[in-house]
Amino acid sequence: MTRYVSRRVGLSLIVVAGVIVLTFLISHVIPGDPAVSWAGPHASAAQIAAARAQLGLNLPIWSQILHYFGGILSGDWGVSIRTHRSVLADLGSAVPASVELVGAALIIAALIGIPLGLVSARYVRRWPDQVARFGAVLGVSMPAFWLALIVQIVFSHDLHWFPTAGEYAPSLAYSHPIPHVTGMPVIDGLITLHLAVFWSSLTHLVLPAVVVSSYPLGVVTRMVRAKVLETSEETHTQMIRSLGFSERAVLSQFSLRLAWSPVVQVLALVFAYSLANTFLVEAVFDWPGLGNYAAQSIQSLDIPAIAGVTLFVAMAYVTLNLLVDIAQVFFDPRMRRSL
Amino acid sequence: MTLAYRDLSISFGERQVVALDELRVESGEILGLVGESGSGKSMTATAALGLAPRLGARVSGSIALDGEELLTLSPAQWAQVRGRRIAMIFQNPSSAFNPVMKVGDVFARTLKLHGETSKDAARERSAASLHEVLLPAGVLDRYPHQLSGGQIQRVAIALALALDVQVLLADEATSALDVTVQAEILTLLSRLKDRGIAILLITHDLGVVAEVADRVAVMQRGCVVETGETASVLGQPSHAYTRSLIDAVPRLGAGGPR
Amino acid sequence: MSTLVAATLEPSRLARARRWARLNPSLAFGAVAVSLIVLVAVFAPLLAPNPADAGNATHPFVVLQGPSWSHWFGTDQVGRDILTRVMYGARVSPLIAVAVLAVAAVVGVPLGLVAGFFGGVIDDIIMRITDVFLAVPALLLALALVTVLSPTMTSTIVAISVSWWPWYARLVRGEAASIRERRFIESAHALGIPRWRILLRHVLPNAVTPVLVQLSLDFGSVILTASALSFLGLGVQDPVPDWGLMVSEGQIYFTTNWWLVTFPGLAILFCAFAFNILGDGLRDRFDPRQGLGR
Repeated sequence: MTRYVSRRVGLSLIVVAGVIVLTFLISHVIPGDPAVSWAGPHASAAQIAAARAQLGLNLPIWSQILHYFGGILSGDWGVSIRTHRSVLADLGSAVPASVELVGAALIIAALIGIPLGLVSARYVRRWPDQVARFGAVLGVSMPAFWLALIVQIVFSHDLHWFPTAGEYAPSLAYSHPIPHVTGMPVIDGLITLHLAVFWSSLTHLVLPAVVVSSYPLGVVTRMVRAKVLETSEETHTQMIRSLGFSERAVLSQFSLRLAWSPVVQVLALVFAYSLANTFLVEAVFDWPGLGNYAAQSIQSLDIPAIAGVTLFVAMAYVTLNLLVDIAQVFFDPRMRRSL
Repeated sequence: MTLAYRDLSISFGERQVVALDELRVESGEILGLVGESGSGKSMTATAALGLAPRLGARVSGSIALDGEELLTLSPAQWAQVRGRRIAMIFQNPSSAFNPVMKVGDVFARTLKLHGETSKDAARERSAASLHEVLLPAGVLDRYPHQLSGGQIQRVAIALALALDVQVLLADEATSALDVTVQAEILTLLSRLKDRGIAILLITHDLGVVAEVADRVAVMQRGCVVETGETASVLGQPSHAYTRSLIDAVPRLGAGGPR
Repeated sequence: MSTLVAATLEPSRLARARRWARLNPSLAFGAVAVSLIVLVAVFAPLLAPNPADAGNATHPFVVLQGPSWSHWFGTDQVGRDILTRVMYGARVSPLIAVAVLAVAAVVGVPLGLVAGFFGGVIDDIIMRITDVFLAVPALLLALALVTVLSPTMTSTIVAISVSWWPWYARLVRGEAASIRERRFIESAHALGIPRWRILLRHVLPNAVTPVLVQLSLDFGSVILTASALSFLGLGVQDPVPDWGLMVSEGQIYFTTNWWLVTFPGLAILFCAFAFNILGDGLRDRFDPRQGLGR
C-alpha cells in the first residue's frame, strides 16, 4: 500500500515540477515588459531599470528558473504586478471564494445528478430516461457565460428573486464585521452564527452556483446512468434480482455501490477543471474568485499572478487526482489485494 | 414438491428459442438438462424465476411450482418466490457477487429481505449454512475476489441453503471450474438432495450429468428430445441427437474420428 | 400529409427509417441537427436575408431593433441583421472545432500509440508530458497563448489544440497498451513482423474507434471553449460573425435589448447540443465501454 501511494506521490511531484517549468516558460513568452508594468506608466528610465533589477530580470534564464523554483518551494510566489500584494496573499483571498462557488455547484450537481442518473437507468429508454438524458446533454452543452447572463437578467434584474452580483451585500460590511475563518462567507457566517452574513452570502451564492453546476450536473447524471446500466447486466446483478430484490432495491442497494468510484473521480476532475474555468461566470457575477483574478491578471499581463494561478490550479488538479487515486483503494476492495 | 414445465414457449421477437412440451423436477432429485450452447437450456431456467421478460423474451405456457402457476404471478408475488422458494447459481463465479461488497453483506441483506429481522440470527443462519458447505464463517467477511472459484460456488449454494429454498437452478455452475473442484461441487449438490431440494442441473457436459444426475433431459434447439433415467438415456439413447452427443465425448483409448 | 409522403416513398423504407430513428434516437436527432447546421453553414449566402451584414455593413437607421418580420432575430448595435450573422456564424465555430480536433488528433494519436505500444521509459516520458499539459487548465493555457499570438482564428485554433491533444494521447495510449497484451500481437511479433508494421497495421485500426467516438463527443466542448475565448475578446475579432463574440458585444445592451445576447447564445447551445447528441449516439452504437464524461 505504501509503495503504491509513494509511487503516485512521486509521479505527481514530477508533474508539478513540469508544470512549474512550463508556467515559467509561458510567462516568459508573453510580451510586455513586466518591469514597465511594475514601475507604472509614468516611470522614468531609471525607475524601470531599478524595477528590472528588483524583479531579477537581468539574470540568465536558467538562473531565473531555479530562483523561481526555490521561491515556490519556500512560499514566495512572487508579487503581483497589478495588486502589488504577494501572489500567495492574493490567492489566499481568491481561492476560498472559488472553492465556495465550485463546491456549492458540485453539491448541487451531486444531489440532483445522482438520483437523476438512477432514475434514468431504472426507466431506461422510457420517457424519464429520455428527459433526463436530454437535460444532461443540455447541461454539458451549455455555454456558461451565456447562461450566467440570462440567469442574472431573468432572476435578478427582472424578477428580483436574487441579488445581482458579489459575494454578499456590500452594505453588510458596514453594519457587521465579516467573520473570517475559512474565507468562505457562507460557512463563516454559519459557524460564527452571524446569520445576517450567512443569509446574505447564501442568497448571493445561489445564482452563480446554479450556473456553474450545469456542466457537472450533466456529467454526473450521464456517469451514474452509464455505470448503473453497465452493472445492470452483469452476473452479480442478475443474481441479486434472482434473490427477490425489487428493481429499485437492486439499484439503490447494490448497483449504486459500484457507481461511487467513477462519480467521485469525475467530480474531482470537474472540481479542478472548474476552479479556473469559472472566470466567465465570475466575471458576470462579479465574484471575487480565482477565475476573476486570473482574467484580470491576464488582461494586465501580470506575469507573476498568471504563473501563480496556473501553478495553483495545476497543483490542485494533481493533488485531487492523487487523492482520488488513493481513495480508489477504499472504493474498490480489489485494489487492496494487488498492493 | 415439483417444478413442472408444460408447453413452455420462449421467443425473442420472431425467433423461438424454447419449445418445451414437458419437464418435471421432483424434490430430492437432480435433473440434468443437457444440450449444446444455444439450445435454450439457460432460458428455461431463467423463465422459472420470471426473469425472462426482462431480457426481452415473450414467454407462454406453464411453469408450476407445487401446482402453483408461476408465469402469471405479479411482481409482489414473485418477490416471495425468488430467493425464498427458488434460487439460482450462476456459471461464472468470479462475477457472481458484487465486487465491492462483502459476501456477508449480501447474506445479511437477502435474509433481511426475506424476513429475518435479527442481525444476530441472520449471521447465525449464514454461518450455519456455510458450515454445511464446509466453509468457515470467516468467509462472510471476505470480498469475492479473495475467494477461489470453488469457494464462491459453495457460498452461492450456502446462500440458497440459508434461504431454505425448495428448488435450486444450477446454470452451468461447474463449467468454469477445473475438474477436481468441479467434483467437489457436484458432491455437494448430491448431498442437497437429502434435504429434499429439487435441483435442475444445466450443463453441456455429459460427464457431469453421468456423475450426479438421477434423470436427464436432452435439449436440442429449444425442444426436449429425450428424457429418462440417466443410466438408460446415456446407456441406450433412443434419439439420434442424444447419440451424437454421447459420441462426441472423447474417450481414452477410443481412437477418435479418422 | 404523412400519408402522402408515405405514398411517394416505398412504405417499407419509410417504416424502416422510422423504426431506426426510434431505436437510435440520439443518433437520429444528432444527425438531423448536425446536417441542419452544416446546411446553414454551407448555404448561408443563399439562406441569409442580408449577406452583407455578416461583415462590415452598418445600417444606422435600424440599430438595436427587436425581433420583427423583417429581422427575425432583431438587429445589433450597428444595425446588422442578427439572423444573418447567426447563420454565418455556423461557418465559424464548427470550422474552428474541426481544425482544433484535427490538430489534436494528429499530434495526440501518434504519441499515444508510441507510448502505449512501446511502454517502458518512452511511455513514462510521454505520459508525464501529457500529465503536465493536462494539469494546466485548458482555458488558461489558451488564454496565455492567445495573448502571445494576436487574436485571430488561427491563434484560437492553436491555443485550444495545445490543451486538447493530451486527451487523445492518453486515450490512444490506453487502447494501445491493452491491445499490445492481446494474443494476436504476440503471434505477429513471433512471426517476425517488424514492430512498426504491427503498430500501423494492427494496433492503429483497433485504437481508432474510441478516437472517433471521442472526436464526436469533443466537438461540442471545443465549440464552447472557442466561444468562451471569443467572448473574452481573445478569439476572432469583429466583424467576423462569431457567436461568442456576438454575445460579448451584446452584453452591455442586454438589459434593454435581450435579443443581441439570446440568439447567438442559443446558437452556441444548439450547436454544442447537436454535436454532443450525435457523439452520444455514435458512442452508444460503436463503443460499449463508456468512458468518463468530460
